[in-house]
Amino acid sequence: MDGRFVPFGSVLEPGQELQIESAARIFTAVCEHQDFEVVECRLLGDGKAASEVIVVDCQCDGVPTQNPVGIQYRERLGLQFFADENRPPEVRALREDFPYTGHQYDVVSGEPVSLCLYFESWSEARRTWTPQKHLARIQWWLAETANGTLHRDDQPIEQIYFKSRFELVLPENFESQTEEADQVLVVKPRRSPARREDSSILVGRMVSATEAEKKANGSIQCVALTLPPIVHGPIERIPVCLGALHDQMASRGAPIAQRLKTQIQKQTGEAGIGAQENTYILLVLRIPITRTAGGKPEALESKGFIVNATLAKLGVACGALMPPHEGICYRDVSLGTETAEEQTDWRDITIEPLEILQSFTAELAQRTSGLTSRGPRGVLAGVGALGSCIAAIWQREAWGRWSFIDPDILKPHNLARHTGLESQVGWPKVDVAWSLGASILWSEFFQESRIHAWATDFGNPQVRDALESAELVVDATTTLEVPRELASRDSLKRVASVFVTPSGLDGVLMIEDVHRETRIDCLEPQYYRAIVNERWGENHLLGKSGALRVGAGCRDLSAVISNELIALHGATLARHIRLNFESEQPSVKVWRCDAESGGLSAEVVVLHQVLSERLNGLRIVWDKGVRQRVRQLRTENLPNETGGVLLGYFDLPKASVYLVDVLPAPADSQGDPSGFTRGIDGLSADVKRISERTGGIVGYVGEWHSHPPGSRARPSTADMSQMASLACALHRDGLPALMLIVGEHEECWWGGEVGE
Amino acid sequence: MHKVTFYPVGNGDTSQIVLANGKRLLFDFRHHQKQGEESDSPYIDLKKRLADELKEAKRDSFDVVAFTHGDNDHIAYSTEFFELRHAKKYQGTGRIKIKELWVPAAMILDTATRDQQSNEFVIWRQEARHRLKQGRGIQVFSKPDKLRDWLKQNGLTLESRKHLITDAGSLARGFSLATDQVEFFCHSPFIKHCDEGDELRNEAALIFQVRFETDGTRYNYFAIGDSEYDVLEDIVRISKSHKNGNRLDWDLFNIPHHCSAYALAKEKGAKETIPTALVKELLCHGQREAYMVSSSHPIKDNAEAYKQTQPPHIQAKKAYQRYLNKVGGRDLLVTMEEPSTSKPEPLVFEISSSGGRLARRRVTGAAIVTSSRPPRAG
Repeated sequence: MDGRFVPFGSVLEPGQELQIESAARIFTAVCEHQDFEVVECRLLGDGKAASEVIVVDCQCDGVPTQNPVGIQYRERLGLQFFADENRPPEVRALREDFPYTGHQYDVVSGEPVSLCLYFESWSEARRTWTPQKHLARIQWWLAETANGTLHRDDQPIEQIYFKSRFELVLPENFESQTEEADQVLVVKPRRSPARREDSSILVGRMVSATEAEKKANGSIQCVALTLPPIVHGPIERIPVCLGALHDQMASRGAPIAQRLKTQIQKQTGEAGIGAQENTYILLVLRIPITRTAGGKPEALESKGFIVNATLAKLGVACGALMPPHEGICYRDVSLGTETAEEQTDWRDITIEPLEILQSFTAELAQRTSGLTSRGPRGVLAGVGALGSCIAAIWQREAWGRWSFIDPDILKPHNLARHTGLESQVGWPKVDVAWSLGASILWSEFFQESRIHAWATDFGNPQVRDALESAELVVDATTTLEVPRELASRDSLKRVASVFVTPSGLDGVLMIEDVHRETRIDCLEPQYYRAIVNERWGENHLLGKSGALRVGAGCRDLSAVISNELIALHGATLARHIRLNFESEQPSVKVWRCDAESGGLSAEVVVLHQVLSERLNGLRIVWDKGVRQRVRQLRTENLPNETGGVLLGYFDLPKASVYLVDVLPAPADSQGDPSGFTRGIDGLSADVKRISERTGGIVGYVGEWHSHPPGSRARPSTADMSQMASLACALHRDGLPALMLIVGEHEECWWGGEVGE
Repeated sequence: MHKVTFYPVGNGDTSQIVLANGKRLLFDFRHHQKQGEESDSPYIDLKKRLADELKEAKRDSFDVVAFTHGDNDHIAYSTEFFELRHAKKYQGTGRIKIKELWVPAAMILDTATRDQQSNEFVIWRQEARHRLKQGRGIQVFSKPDKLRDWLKQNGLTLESRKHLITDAGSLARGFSLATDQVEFFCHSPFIKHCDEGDELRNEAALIFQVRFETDGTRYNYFAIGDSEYDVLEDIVRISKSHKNGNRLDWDLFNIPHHCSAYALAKEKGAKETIPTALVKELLCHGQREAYMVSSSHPIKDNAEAYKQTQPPHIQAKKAYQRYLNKVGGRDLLVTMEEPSTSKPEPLVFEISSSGGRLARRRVTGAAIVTSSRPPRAG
């Protein structure tokens, strides 16, 4: 073994026995271990701080032969155990030039290096601790540290293993703003309203120098320095005084003393600075790191220190300030003064490391959430219960940059399911959602605008601009109107719609394809068709009591849905909007919660290509799925004609009828090669059932029938008289009559209204 | 990271090099046939072990299989394991393919005495000859006159097979520091010995200095199968005269012939073998922190052991240990002793830009209990 050893404690006299139980146990284990050899035993301290040290030579085959870290095959170690059994055992590397690596505890100057063996707390680690495992852990530490694999590649290196008196959260803009001359870092302790005094978290903000003076009350004096770039190097020992810090940085081309002096002068106003209550100040270094000398900085490291001196004392010591005059230190503006390096008073001022925490930025949020994309610039229309829940999830993930549009005000009863607070009652809901985001992240970059209006108010330029510039418009209004209106705006880029059913048990997502070939209003009828035909559709839109609730959503004061279910579906929908946004395809998905087990099942609606016909002023929306169905029914009945009723719904402001499904011929129908008479057996009951399943939305809209082999789909004379009678009947409802004729190779839509 | 693995196969040899780029080279093959309930046997079930490793790597072939020479302890049961190209009966599911076979020229030629020619040796000779005739999937080391004659008898010219033959003193084809971070410098067989006749095979075994170079860090593995001291003396002599001294360097030394004293000197010695001057020189080429591996039975240090005629020889081990200490090496390991003589496990050396290290798996007590049969309960 090479090298000299750091003296540590006093050697146990012959005849003296180890008193600490775990020390005695490790002694036995060491004697049994072929890779460890006892050198001697030592004693340190007394009382509760007393400890016993087994000095061993440890041989480790896992240490690579030419490792650049500098760990040797045989290392002399001190295995230290404390009388206070709540104190974790320490492992000291006694070789004087044992390298400073990651995963070491900071130690008092002059003491041997202490290895950080356990990731978990000692109170946890000791549950399974045995001397044998401890020895194996030591060999593992040496081998992996020497091999450079103690950290996984993707694991950020934590360099500081000590309990810092404070932890400082640097503002997100610290990196970009320290260069600016008039910006100063102001640091204040963050305390809970309960006013506990033990808070160790300090929070920094960048403010202008003039503002800083105003905010001086309660803040901790802080000096932030920007250093010239240094080349990425090995981890270095934490310095114990300003002189050591200066030397360490100077050896890498970034001396700090003169910068410190200049910065203190800059921070001292005309009025000078007086004696302060604080006996310490904070020193924060901003260090650009380059890979090679003269290269472009690739990273920025922030190092923090607690300097055990007042700003006045430090200022005087480094020549920035004059000695106090009537208790006040003024700037030393005399010419020809020494540089800070030439003075030495500041060198012995002791410093302690200060742990620096990264502020919660969008980038950190995305990384922590495992997001691979930053998400779209988008609009969230409707920030009620569901919308605000989804917004809060995306805000914490920093997914997307969202404008909020909502016409509502937060009312007391909303607090049951909304992310808003009592103090925000009376605020527009857009402001409530916006302020939550602004209070999570430092920057407001991800929030575009908040518009207190209807999302369909296209006359409002704010609404129009927000919608038209969005890559994704998410409708969470739980209305029929908003998604249908958004569908007809050609200037939008993509629309999704989400809602929770009246029972609160099911959540629904519809999203257009990226080219908008299948718009949101055309996905709606296919969703209803699934409700009509799939088993899960039976109770899907029913309320809790089994009673029908139409379009009620959460807007309705009387809607009874627990916040649990809003949070459940909000999370599912937020996630799947995010995932589906990455896909180009349109999608309709339903998540169903089993009320008893809590199990969530997903139903994916099979989508068909949309077909659209113009009939006078009416747009007929149907799809290849329905077309396939009528063609099949025709074929099955050949050579006879067949038919049935058409199911769908009208949207009159949009002058559109949406075809949901067709029913086959009732049992009492009569069809032959020359004609078809539709029967009535069970038909009313079927139509009623379908209407109920779909929340009263889907109903009868017309008739369909087939033509015999070789025939076209042109209406016959008989068809015309049927149309006349239908038109008369439907006139009672103020609606036109629709007819679909299915021929050999074509389908024909025909319509009629009284008066035509 | 590259790996060099030594398998516990008793007094025999099997080692494998797995390169960082996934290429696999197997050196020798010694399986111990299982008889009855032999799960307590200390020998590794080599076939199963290698098959499992290949399965894990999603492969059914080795890039190279080298037979350093044809003695049974280097090829035992190998013809049941590998797919041979020269006859259908050695082909079919489960057999492991060999992309390139490395053999000393002696394995092509029929120079062994009759009783040395085990069945398997003859099969491998047929395979090597088949591949040489086909002109692919083989690398033959050294080209004695007899090889030229054999080619001629088979209607081939040396010229037409030149690309399959590598001489001692040069690098094996197919690997380079630039593409694989490894090169194989062939020390033996050299011509002189191949043409000497008797006892040819042992002396004419393959000996390589395997050099790894990762990001500028060099690591040399001296791979010797069976060899006697005078061959090693020749190697030292030739290397020096060709100014190839650094080709004698080693960070990892495969102790020849299962720790036989006769790889050091003519006399075993009473307490410790005294190596000849030239062999000593080779041992002194060991680098700091080097390891030695003896692929052999455990080496006991008792009165009985000093009388033993068969290797491993305790006297030889003492000599190796002495020179290992002298060069500042780490440890001499015996394949059948690690981690225990009752249940030895392969020795794995990991080689990276940090040098080499022994990947000693910490075996927990629980793992030992669950991987072996406990004594019968009453």
